[in-house]
Amino acid sequence: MKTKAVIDRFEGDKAVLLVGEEQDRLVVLRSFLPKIAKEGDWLQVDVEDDRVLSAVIDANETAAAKSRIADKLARLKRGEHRE
Amino acid sequence: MQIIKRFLSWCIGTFQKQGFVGKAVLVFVSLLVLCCLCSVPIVILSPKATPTPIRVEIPITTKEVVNATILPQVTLILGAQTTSTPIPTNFYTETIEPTSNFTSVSGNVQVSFIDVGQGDAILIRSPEGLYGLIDGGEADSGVIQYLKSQGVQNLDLVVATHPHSDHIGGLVAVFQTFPTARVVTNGEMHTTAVYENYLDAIAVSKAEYIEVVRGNVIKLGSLTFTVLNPGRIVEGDLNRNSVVLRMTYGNTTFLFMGDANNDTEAEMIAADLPLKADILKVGHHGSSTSTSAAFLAAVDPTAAVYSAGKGNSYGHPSPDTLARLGNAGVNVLGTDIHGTIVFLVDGTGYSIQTARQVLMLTPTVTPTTNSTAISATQTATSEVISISVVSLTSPISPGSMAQLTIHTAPGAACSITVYLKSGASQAAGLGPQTADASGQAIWMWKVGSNTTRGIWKIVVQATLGGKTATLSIPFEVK
Repeated sequence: MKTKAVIDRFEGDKAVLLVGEEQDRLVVLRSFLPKIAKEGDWLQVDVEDDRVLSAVIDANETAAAKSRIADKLARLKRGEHRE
Repeated sequence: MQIIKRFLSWCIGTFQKQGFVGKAVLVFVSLLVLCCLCSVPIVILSPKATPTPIRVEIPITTKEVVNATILPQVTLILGAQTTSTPIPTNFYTETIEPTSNFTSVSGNVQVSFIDVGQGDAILIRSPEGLYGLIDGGEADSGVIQYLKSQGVQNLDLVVATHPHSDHIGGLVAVFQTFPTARVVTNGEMHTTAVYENYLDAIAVSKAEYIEVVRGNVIKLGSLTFTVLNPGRIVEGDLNRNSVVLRMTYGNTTFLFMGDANNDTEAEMIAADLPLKADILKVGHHGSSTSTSAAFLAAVDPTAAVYSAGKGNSYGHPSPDTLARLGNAGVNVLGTDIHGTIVFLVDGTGYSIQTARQVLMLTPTVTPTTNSTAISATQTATSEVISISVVSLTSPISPGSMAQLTIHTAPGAACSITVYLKSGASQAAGLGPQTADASGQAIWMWKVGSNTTRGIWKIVVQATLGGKTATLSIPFEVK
């Protein structure tokens, strides 16, 4: 199944992915991911039976998430949500 | 198969062609080859080649040091799997009578390390009855149910140590369920949908959003949390930048590390921060990259808590970290073993209640010493009935008198079973005892002259006030 996933964190030689809309946790070996992948990168993944068949960094999705979330964080910092 | 058949027929042919001497030489050579081949598995299977027996030194009250050799099959839950690292001198034995009785808690301040599986969630009740929560575990990890069971209606403070899902995932539902006054973070951002949902939930809750750095002070009623980390944000390492908090109530100090790692620890030592604490919530679920020996020396805790899920995918807690804690003489509690762990603090000391009663074996504690550190440990363990070995005659030769002295709660009903090859020993002197006012119970019995030599097992059980602890001790007849 082809879907989106984001790297939540690395734990030793493993990576914790949050997969799809539901952000289901999937723990995979870091070596299954592109070497340059970082925490917080969004990926296009092909997942089958809790295995990652392929993973490609999705720079556009990562940039979009960053910008959208940074805006939300800035609004919280400014206290706009309490007005 | 063909090759083997041909080889065999060639062998038989050659054998038949030989004279008597030739036959004898061939038989001798074949036997030699057979022996060599067999000895390889023999060496591998022999007991000496199995993981090296663990040596545990148990110096208590008497000046003698009892060296007990413990085989890995003895009921150690932690440490037994270790092969290359030294075994902690503190370790756990089996779980007894699971209970979840939290109804009788007292104490002005309550700190609960909630069993949320793999993740962190710590609930703190101030003397005024205000509640603060440090992290919320993953989504659906039980934090909501626990808070409700404790009668929490709203939260004065929520601290998100850093934005990984095993710390903030459960906070989404927390903000949706409990009106929250303030959310404290280090300001670091993540790009996951879990993090985005968490920000959305804060926005909807209308909680005040506050970012802190080293030196800031956060109040929860009369409780004060001092922020020790982050000093400055180091890009690209969310764990390292975890919010680290130090909280003191009366004479008891807690240090909450989030997922801080060795780099954080080294930096905090270099910054000459006040690190001394009685209870250390170790960084990053007890992983090997946190809780360095140097940091442990600086904190010098009597008790350490790690939060980890049973059978987690990451090997948390690391045997290395447990060994470092054990070597530093720290009592270790873990949510994977003990379930939810509650510290009750009254300003003069603390006691511990755990969801699952697990024996804490603390061989380094000397009951007769009256240093403050020791008395704090005794206060700490008073709610969890424990047994420690004072002395044991082991190894012992058949036909001699054996003696076991244990230390447990004064007045505890104690029973002993000595398991030998033939089963439980029927020797006189192995009847039930009541621990005396100093908490000691002593058994003396004769080891029969025809007892099979080997390493056997003594099981001691102590019961007081409905709580039971069991200790399994190796016993060598040599």
